[in-house]
Amino acid sequence: MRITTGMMYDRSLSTLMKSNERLSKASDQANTLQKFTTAGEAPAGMAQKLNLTAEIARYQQYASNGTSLQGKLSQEETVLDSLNTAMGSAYTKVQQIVNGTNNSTDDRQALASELEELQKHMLDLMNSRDDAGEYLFSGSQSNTPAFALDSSGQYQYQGDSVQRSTQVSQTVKIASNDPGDALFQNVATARTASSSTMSSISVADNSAFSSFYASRYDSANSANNTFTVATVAGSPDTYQVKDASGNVLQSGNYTQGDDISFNGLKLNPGVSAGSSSTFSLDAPKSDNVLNTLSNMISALRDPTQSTDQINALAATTQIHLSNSQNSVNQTTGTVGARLSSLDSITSSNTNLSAISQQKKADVSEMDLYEAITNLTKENNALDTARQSYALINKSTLFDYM
Amino acid sequence: MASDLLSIGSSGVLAQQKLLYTTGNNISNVNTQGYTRQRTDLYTNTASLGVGMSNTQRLLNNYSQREMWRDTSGVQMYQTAYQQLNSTDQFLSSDANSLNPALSSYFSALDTVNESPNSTGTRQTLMGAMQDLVNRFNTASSTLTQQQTGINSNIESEVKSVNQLLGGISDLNQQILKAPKNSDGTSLNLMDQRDEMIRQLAEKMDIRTVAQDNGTTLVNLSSGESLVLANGAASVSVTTGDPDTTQTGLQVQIGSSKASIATDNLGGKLGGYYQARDNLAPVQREVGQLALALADAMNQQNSKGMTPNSTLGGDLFTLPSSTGLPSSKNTGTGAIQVSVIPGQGSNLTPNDFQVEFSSSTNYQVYMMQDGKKVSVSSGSTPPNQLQLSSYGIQLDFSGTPNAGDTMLLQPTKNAASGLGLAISSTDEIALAAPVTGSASSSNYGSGKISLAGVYNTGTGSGISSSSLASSAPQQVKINSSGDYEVYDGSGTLIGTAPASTKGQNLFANLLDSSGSKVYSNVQTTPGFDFNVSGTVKANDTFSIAFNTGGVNDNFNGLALSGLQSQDLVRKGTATGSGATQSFSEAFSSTMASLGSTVSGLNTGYSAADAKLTQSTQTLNSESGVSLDEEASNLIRFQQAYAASAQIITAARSVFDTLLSAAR
Repeated sequence: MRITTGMMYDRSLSTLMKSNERLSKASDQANTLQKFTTAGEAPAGMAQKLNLTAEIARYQQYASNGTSLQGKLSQEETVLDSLNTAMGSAYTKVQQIVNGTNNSTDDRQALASELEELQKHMLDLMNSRDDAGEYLFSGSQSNTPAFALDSSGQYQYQGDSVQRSTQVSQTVKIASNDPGDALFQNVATARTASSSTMSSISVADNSAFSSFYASRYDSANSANNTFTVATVAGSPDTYQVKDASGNVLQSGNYTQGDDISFNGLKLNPGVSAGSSSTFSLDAPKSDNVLNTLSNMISALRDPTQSTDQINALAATTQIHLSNSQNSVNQTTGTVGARLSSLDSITSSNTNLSAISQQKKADVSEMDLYEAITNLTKENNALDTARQSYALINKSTLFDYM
Repeated sequence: MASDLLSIGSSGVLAQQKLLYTTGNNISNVNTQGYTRQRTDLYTNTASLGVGMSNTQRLLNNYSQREMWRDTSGVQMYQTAYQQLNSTDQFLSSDANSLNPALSSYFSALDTVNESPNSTGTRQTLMGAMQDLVNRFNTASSTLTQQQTGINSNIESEVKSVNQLLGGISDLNQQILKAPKNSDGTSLNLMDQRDEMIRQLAEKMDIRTVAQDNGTTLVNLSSGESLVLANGAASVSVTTGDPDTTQTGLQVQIGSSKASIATDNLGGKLGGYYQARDNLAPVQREVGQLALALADAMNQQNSKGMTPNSTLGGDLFTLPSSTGLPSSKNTGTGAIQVSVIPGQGSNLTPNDFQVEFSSSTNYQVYMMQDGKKVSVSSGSTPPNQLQLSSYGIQLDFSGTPNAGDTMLLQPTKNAASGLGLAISSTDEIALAAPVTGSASSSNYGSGKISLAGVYNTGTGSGISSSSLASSAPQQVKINSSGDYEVYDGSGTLIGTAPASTKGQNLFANLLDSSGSKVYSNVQTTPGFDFNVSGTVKANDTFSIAFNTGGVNDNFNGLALSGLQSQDLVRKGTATGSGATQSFSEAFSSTMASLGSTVSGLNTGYSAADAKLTQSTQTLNSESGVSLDEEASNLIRFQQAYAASAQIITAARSVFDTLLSAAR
């Protein structure tokens, strides 16, 4: 091929420019450690990188959601723990009355004050706020304290039943609060029975009566909650306790005016043998522990209350206290379970995020050594191109003429 | 024999001079653009002794030259299109302008708000992220528009220089015709100039040339239209797009006859600009589609939630509507407004539509797909509204069109630049659920009620702006068989969900006394559903109410943030399962398709450039000046000149000898 002067310059120049371009790209890669900066350089790589970046951002968000959730749940756990302790000590204080060791007026006053302090402490805990000043146990009505006294002197739940959730992974949401209604307000009080025909009816043994109530109470058909005590005159006089279908549940000798013990109930029909009377299981009631304590405190401060009355009230108070404590403990358990599942999800997120980071690095990031090697290689290529340019274009025939 | 030594010598001197002139011309034009090496051939004198005629000619391979021109067009086409699209690519790939980082930070902010829905600070951050998202969509779209405008003005200036070149080529052709033949090579220089102009014209568009015997060259477009004719040149002009004025075209005019030029295979810089513009349009439409799909999904979800002011949420973003562009040939006054059907954003496609009126009331709607028209619907007015729900758009007709009128609809093209933020206060972000349920405190069972979902708060729903309709379910009561009885606000039994449902999706499973479903579609009426879980006992009750004051609820916030991983953007015109993708995937795939175009152009450029280098070398190898060769020629011709001069000296001394002999 005939080589002309222009070709010689053009060829050398285009080699130089190409070397320069490659060097500039190698230098970019070494500086940014990115394989590409535009989609045109690697269309599929860019799409993958964009998707992976979005995915990594999501994992980061899940991690930060998880941290905030952990804070909330830990706070709730602490508060519930303190409540558990407070309820436990209230239970112990009330036990002192039942034990009968402290039953003078002064002692009652002292006990009332102690219970009042505990009640205040519990109210304070139930109205706990989080770091942002939101009431923890008010559901979504977090601007309102969970419990407040109404005009009739009763503590009322003011929140709602909303349970918030936190997104901690693509598919998993974990509840981040427990509304106070299920936790504190809707706690069953001691079960009761009543009668319009007997001369007296009272609960003597709460645990025996509770289990009887649980097995017999029929919320669907209230007729089934009425029991008959039928007495038969004879020698001796006898009685039978029958349910609504006439099945005999208990029978024995009857003396008018004496109590009949029936599944923890103390029944006094007060009728002469031959007549019958009825009693029924009262509908279940629930309340918060604050109101129960209020009743106990005002009874203790009322000098007209007899020891029996105080003792009976103490027994029902204890039942409600221990029901409340159960509810708090169960919730503490679920909070703990949530914390542990959060832990495992967080660690799985960390792993998945690391995998995505690795994938992104594989797709879009440049190995440092590779980048430096490339840079050196391209630099050498440019050097060679320059030298050959100088060599080839150094002289023409005219120089020798 | 009429020849003598003197005339032999002088013919030699003159001939060698001519050779030296040619060599000198070659040497001095070594760096002249478009110069073709010349050679002077000498012929013996046929009438007498000595050198006869000389002929100077260009050393040119016409075939190589035409190939070089074609390759020039190719390189320019690829380079121009690459440069234009690469700048779009760089813009959209940069973290500062890419849509994906803005989407990520928007959803991050949303998640942070969900952690503390009642905090004004996090709500402010969210609103900032929303504004940033809107700004990025606006910027992306307006940058794409600006780029297309820039391309249009580049096309205009290129067309100006095309016309200058056409005139220049035609002028030079005329001069070549008039120039004396076989002179000192002046006409050869004219041809070089003309060929250089043709090369410059080839940079602008792909052309074909026809060399005439008289030395002139005619030029055609590769598609056949004449540009330079024997007696003059055509003129090229830019035509306004119709109906979209930004889609400018080209036409060629010879005398009074005009013809439009197809721009899709034009080649050269002009072809590159058109190719870039044709590739930018789908990017802009896809960005618009993403903006509309995202905004619509967010608006829909926000309207299913409750704001901190205890009212239903409204729109978060404003969705722009667009006006149909009438063809300039239209004779009627018909107009069409196109907007997104609320809630149908995921059916939108990144396509333009065309409406053709066959009479003042009858019309046919076509979708423009890959340059083809696909019929999608037809109808007549009234009604003055047509909903194309499978494409997510609605058309509002007005005015009176005439038969034959057409309208171009561009629902997505400028959508991203028209996107706006609809809210002015953080209190308009609806994160809470509008309804809430609670268990009665006198319940014997331990069942809990929870919201299963809110599907509709508009027409047909039991939820109004800040309360529950009295006809909506408001109480659930367990009957003696364990079934779930649902009562409305006035205490009337609506229906019963059997115990076998275990309290899940109560309203969807609600049966009336004859055993048929009360709500055929809970998604519409009552628009929400509840689950009761846990042990329930007869006569337990659960109440359902508007969630007034529920400021710290994030039920709807989670749903808003959940849109992030939902597939809500349609892939082109795909239908069926897998036809949609998530917001970030949509943008990624837009970038991937833009990227592969850019990368294809870059590859094409490299290939065309290598081809041009090769054809240029082939051409230069024959037509280029080699200084070494000219140096050697210079010595050779100098020596011949000196030798010829010696002949004259010899003739003189011969003559002198003769004279002295005669003395």
